[in-house]
Amino acid sequence: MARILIIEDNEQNLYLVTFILEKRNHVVTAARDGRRGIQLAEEIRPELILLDIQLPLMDGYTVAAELRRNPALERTPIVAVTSYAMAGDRERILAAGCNGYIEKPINPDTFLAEVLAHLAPDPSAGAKEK
Amino acid sequence: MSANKQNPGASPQSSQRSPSKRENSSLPARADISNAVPEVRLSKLNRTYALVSDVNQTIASVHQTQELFETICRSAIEQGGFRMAWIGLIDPQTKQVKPAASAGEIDSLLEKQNMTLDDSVGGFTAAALRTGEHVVIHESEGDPNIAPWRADALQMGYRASAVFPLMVAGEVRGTLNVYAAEPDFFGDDQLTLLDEMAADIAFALEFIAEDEQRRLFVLLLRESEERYHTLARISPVGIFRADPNGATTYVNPAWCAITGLSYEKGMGMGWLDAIHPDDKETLSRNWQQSTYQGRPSYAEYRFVRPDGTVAWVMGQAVPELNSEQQIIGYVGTVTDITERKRAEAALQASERQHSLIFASISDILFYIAVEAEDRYRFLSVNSAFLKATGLTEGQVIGKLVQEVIPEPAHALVLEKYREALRAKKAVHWEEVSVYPAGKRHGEVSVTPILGTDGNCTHLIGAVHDVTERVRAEAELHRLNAELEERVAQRTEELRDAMIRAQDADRMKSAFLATMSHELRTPLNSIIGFTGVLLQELAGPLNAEQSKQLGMTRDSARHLLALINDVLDISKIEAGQLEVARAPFEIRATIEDTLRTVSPQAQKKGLALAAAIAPGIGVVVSDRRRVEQILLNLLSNAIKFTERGEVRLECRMLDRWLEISVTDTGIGIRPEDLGRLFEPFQQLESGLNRLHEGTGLGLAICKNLVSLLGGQIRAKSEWGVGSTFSFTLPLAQKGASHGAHPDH
Repeated sequence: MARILIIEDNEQNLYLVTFILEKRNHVVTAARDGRRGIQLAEEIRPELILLDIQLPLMDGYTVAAELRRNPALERTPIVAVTSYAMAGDRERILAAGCNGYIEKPINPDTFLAEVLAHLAPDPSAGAKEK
Repeated sequence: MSANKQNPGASPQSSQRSPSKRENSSLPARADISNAVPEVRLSKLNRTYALVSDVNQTIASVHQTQELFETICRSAIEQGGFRMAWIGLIDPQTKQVKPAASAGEIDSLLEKQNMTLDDSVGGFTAAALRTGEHVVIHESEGDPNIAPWRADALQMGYRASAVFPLMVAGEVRGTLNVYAAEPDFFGDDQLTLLDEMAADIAFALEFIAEDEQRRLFVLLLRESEERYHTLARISPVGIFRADPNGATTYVNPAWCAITGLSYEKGMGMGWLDAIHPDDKETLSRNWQQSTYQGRPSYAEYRFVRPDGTVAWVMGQAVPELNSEQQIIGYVGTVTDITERKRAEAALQASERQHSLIFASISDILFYIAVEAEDRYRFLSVNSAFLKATGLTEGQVIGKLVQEVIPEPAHALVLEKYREALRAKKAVHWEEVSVYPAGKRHGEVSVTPILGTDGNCTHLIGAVHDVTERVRAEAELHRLNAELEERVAQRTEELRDAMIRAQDADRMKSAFLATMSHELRTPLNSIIGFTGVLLQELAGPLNAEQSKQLGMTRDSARHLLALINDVLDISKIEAGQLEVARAPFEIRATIEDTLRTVSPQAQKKGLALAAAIAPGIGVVVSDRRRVEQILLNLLSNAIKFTERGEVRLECRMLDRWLEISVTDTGIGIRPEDLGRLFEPFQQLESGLNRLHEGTGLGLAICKNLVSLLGGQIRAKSEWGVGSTFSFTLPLAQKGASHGAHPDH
């Protein structure tokens, strides 16, 4: 069970990911744009953030960088879930402060494992919060 | 001596004169005669008669002067009883009497008698010559006329002598001299007889002379005729003779040779048939006119020989007139002028040809007479000259160059002509001439014509009009400049276009990125929700639902693959495909991909085998791209194989890793192998429905392998199977590779 923040503007994608995670009893909070995402992250201090890159008002790179500037969130795993697949996208994403990268469309068979893998390296962070 | 001077008009033979003669005769002679014994006188008279008779016979039978004279002289001795007789003739040159014949007792007397008509010389012969009358010396002893030769005469026994002049046409031509042994030999009767005899001899002399002349004339005539005939026979000119009607009466061999007619056929009017039909009328008209005007006719006409050949002749005929100026015939010649005609025709043809060439040639041509330094006169020019200059023939022909070519152009022309004359060879130059017809550029050449003395007599000039060429060159020049300008402009445009294209590329990339995102977003839902449903997270599914949802998921995945391929090829074409280089376990990657395609192989009942050489571990490359290549080759192998197996092999070759995928499928035709790796080349379009795909897979693989530093290749046997293999470098990043194992 983990508190997971999803920053995603597409309703269907948001529903899909929320459905998969909630079915496994994770607590999902959703933000529909970057600004709101940063706000919620500061408020709820999630254990993991799933971040879409193409977002209205503020793109994912900016959001990631902003989140990393907050010392309280600097160690929170951020996994980019994006359909950006052009050369260099991956590097830019990692450079912006993300810990991982899941390409859309997601593979429902492996998605959960890929997400939860990012919780494992620093279980203490989540444990402390609990 | 007795001389009949009293009655010159009377004939000496006249019996009436006898008394007067007697009167003038010296008395002793008269006394002598009167006193002579009648028998003796009769005997002498008879002998004289006999002599005269003999001489007349001789005259009748002998027609040759010398023979006549000699016979007469002999008769005078033999019949006339004279001691000596001789006949002399007057040399027309010296006017001296030259003894022509003699008989009897001859002595030196004859030679001494240098008788002439000159009065100054004495002698009885001379007297006879002067007077034309006979002179008689009755007694040598007393007669003064014989004084110079008396001694000789007496020595020779000449006691009496007489000389009778031989008169022809009133002129003395010669003398008959007779000498007798007895004094007073000549009686009057005898003298009369002897005068008559002398007259007969003179007549004979005249007759013979006339006869000889006639015979000579006949001889000359015959010779002339023979010469004429010879001439006619051997003449190379045909000769003919015709009667007033034109009927031929004679032709010579040359005439026959020229006309081809035999002598017989040439006679009469036969020749007319041999005249060329076209010439008959002209010839006859010409003939008639000439005859009418009484002048020789002259015509050139043709004979057609029996063998068909044609002979051109020049014919001339002159009328032959009799003493009444009537035409009694014609004499004419025909000269074979076939060769001349042929040469004339050839010359005419040649001249016509040359003038035609001269006239029709498009270059300007002119012919100039060199009269003196700087005096050149136009003799002829062709039509191109007139056309170019806009001048008329009258303005050019016979004019000096200075009069035709305006200032200042003729200064150059004269200089060039001088140069040609000096060098005695052709001179060339280019010039611009302003003619009434406009400005022309010309390439001029002038060639001197040398006379027999080696001096230039004429110039032949030609001007090749290069106005069009010069214009074309200028145009070309202008076009070149224009082209250069356009190239520069175009380069500028291209640079702009390139910039725009680069912008477009950037836009395309942005578009692709956007599309990729926009397509993936709905695909995320489709793939995601079908996956969730199939996991039965949303509740249990029956078999049919599971099957249909499975199909939906496969289609969605395929669509995703297509999108990925299109995206990749776009990146490749834009040169934007980038590969990562990171170490990874190749064995694990191979096993992962085999697991991924295993369900497809199982579905078709194909064996999927792998042989990975031991010791193969970490490679530095792009794991995702290597995976993409492997998936592509394996999927293709499975896709195009209906039975048998798909086998993957991995081994190391020196510092290269080689991975090959072999199938037992349909194979590839040799002709298709070459374009296998080109984009959008799914072979055999008929298979499209059977084998889904974009046709981009192998093109992407080739580019990826190349980007990863390796090579890809395919070998195949149609209907047996194919092997696709690719290599990857094993050495560390940045280290130099050895030669590729296949190289």
